Amino acid sequence: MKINKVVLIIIIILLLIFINKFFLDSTKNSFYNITSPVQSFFWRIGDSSSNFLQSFLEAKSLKKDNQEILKQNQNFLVDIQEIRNLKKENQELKQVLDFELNKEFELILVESMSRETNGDFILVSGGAEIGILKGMPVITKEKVIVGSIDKVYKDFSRVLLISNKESNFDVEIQKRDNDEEVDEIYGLAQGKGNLKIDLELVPQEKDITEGDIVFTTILAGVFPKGLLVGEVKNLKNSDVSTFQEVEIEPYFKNNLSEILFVIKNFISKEEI
Amino acid sequence: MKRDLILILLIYFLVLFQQSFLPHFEVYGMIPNLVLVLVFIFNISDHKSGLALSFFAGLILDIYSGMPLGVSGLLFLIMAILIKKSLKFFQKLNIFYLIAMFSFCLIFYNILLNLIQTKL
Repeated sequence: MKINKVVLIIIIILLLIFINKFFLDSTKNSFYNITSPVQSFFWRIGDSSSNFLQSFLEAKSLKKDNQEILKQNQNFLVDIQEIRNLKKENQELKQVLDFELNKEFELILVESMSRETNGDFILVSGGAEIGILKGMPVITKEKVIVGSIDKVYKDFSRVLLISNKESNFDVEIQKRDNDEEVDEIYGLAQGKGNLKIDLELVPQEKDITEGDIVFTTILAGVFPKGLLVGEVKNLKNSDVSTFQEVEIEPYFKNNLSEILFVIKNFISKEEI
Repeated sequence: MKRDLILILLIYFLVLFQQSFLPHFEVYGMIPNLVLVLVFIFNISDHKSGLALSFFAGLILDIYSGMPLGVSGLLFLIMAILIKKSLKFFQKLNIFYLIAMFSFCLIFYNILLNLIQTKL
């Protein structure tokens, strides 16, 4: 009986080594294929239940928020008009200078299915079969950056969230009320795990305040320019450190719905 | 045997629930690890197939993570052995023992898994 158990353990170990060595991706892909309807169903009901719960919990502050949003909306209307004028002016200038117009992103629609318990990774439908490659950025429909493709299976992909400890990329900080001309402020967004991101390498003399918006930049070629990352929060100024201690509240956290997009015509420079 | 198969199916269901439903209810970015809780309950109640079930639970969790197959399985197996060994020293199950043992398991699993993740 004891010998049987030992033989069984040895067989299991050998089988695991064999699968890990030769069939790991295809094995996982098969399991994901079988359970993807259940996972999508759980993801959908989880999303709608959490939305319901959140609106129920936040009912008290809803009126106050609504008034604030109305006020902001009026400001935005003025801004939009200004932006329209600038856009028109910009287009005319581009035509004059014969610039090639910026190509829009080529997008692949994917559906998020699950998030790993340990480590900031999510699993999305769509893999090598539809042309997804490692290093491609993943965004929401509001152009909020979610992460980049970390592992590609045949029909599924694993996405490394921007809050993962392995993730770091350069960002630009823009003032929320950008009325006057201000210096360009750049920094490094460093994932801290558990959906947290720190903003690093921002010199003490740079004027940033809570609520300032953080965008991606093209400097290191990790992500395309102009994608929304989040907003500045928990600003701590220390006399000892050369740089400011800042946290970023990532927007994707409240935006991780079912539908996401993979940018097909951009691959991180690290992967090229 | 039949009971164990039902338990494995339950674990499988729990893994899917944990990874697809619970992320929407994260607290400070963290998702509760129900599979670890279940493994703890199996072994603290001295379940006959506790060791094998713990290993399979880890194996299923590995499928739905980026880990090679067997990493969580092995960690859960070590955890199960430690729980079973500790039961010999602490005959009476009291609340302090349960809290201490569960905290130990949680820390043990997370630290080792993070270490392995950074090495891979």
